[in-house]
Amino acid sequence: MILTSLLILSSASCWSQGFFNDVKVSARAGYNIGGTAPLGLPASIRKINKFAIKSNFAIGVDAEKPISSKWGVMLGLRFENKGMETDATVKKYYMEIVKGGDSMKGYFYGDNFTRVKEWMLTVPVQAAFNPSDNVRLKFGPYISFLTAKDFSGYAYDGYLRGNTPVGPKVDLGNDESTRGNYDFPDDMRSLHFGLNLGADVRVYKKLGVFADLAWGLNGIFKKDFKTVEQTLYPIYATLGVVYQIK
Amino acid sequence: MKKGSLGSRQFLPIIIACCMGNLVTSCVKDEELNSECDIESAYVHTAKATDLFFSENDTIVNVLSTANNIVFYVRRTADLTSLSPLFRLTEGATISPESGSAHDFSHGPVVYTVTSQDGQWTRQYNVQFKVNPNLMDFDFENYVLEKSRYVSEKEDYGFYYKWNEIDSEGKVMDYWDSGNAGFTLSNSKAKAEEYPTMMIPDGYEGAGVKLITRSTGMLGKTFGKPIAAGNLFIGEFDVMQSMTNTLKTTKFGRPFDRKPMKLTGYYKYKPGDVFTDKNFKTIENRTDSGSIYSVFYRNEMKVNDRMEKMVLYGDDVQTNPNIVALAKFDDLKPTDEWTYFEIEYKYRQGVDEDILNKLGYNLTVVFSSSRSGDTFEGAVGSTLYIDKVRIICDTTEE
Repeated sequence: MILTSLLILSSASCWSQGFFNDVKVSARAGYNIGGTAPLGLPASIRKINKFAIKSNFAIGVDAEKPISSKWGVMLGLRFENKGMETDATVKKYYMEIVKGGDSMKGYFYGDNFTRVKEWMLTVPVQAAFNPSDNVRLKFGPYISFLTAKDFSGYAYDGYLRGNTPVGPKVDLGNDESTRGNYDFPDDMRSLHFGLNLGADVRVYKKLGVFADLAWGLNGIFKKDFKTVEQTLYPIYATLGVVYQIK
Repeated sequence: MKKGSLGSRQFLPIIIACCMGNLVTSCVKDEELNSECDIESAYVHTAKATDLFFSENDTIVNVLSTANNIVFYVRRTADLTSLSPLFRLTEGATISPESGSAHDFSHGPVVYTVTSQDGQWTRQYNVQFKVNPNLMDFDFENYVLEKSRYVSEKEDYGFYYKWNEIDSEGKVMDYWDSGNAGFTLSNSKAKAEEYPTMMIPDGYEGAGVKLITRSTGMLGKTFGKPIAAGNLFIGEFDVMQSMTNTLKTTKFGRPFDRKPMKLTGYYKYKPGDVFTDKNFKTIENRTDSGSIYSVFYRNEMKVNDRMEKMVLYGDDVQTNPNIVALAKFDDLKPTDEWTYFEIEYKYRQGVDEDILNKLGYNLTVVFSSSRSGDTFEGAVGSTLYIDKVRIICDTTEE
């Protein structure tokens, strides 16, 4: 009994040593460019006045286990932010301001500012295809665990029509107490998943550049959250440098 | 190979950046048809305007987004059998019967229906031409529970009290208003008895009015408006500016063609325990006090060589140079018994009889449970009860 288990153990360790021999490990640092947006803007958004990405750093490591001369399987870990700020002119845009169990809701005609912050740990699992020594193409699913999240903003310089698009008008101004502030961090999901597609290109010795596109497949808000009517998907590209450690 | 890799390094980010750019900007859809269906103003164009109206300014009525009634004040001798009011509507909306079509208004209001550009929404308005009723006796028996248009019709909450008066033809008309419509914004689930201004069945005689200073809760604090004093006044409450400029929400006064001499009535008052400032911080050793006053003022002022209609707002109701007379109850002592009050109008300037007869003066009467409630200072719980209010005029005294 003991003998067999020892045998199994030693063979396993041998196997595992062998297993890791040809694993390629790389570190990467990049910047996320993109947005958290509905697929196709609703007609209530009339004009994007400003769109900015915010401190969207992404750092991570990947390991690729070759399974043939050109194909391999990749597993990674990233720490990244998918944040943005937008300012849009809206018309008949449904919104709700909630505080302490009471809310003011209606259809807003005016300007709207939104800030999104989503810091997360992402685990991508990808198929890797290496057409040459310098190029690696990657495709596969990812899952993200959010560590910090924020979705807030305010409606300003316009009017809110209470309850229906024809309800009574209430003007909203442009300072802290006169605009319609909203803040929905607790209604945001802590888990994202989606598909990742990208390429690493070796440029000089062990240094290369990469571009990835992470397409979120679930919305950033929980299912029962209705205030933001459209489902918002995080769709971000990461651009950066990759360094092969092993 | 080197060239190829250089190529990818340059192009790929650009391609992706373009894709993202497209995603965000080029997807702005075509504008939908408008859903709004308001009458923004109503006016009458007629060659014989002076036969109908006292003043050119009475030929136009600006309509609040909350209003369902549009009232033109006309001369007692006006012929109302064929009038053709015109309407300015929100973008794309249509009105039936048509703007400018002639109708007989001598039997009361004509109902107009406005339909939005997208055809999805409608609103109804009662348009009427009437003689100014000159009301002087107020018993507050004509109250209704009004449903806030801020709360869905499906919900069983969102009702608050509103007081109407009966005009000379025995018809119900808007006269008094309160800040209740504004309270709904931060406290939509409040019951009618939890609003700052409410009816009590046991007034001095019959029903009376209870004004009580309320906390506006978390949402109200967020808006920098931590309390709402109970108030009731002759005029209109314009909910539109309740977030941006609260002092402009109270449009004080309605036309009045007599010379007021005394304001009388019955009250009870009890100040709340803790006086707070506009940040809801306690101010020690300060006791709240209620407020009862009435202002009689000239309702037109010269703007660019033309006389234009004006009303007093919260920021000038006791200071505007158009004020002709002010009656103010300075010594409103706490009492839990119905107590009679009688205050005299103190005239600051003379009254022109001709202008008076042409409805060139307005009158307001204002009650508030917290004197500085308009700037969000007061004590939650301060309570003022009001009933049987009378305006004693020059002519009725004789």
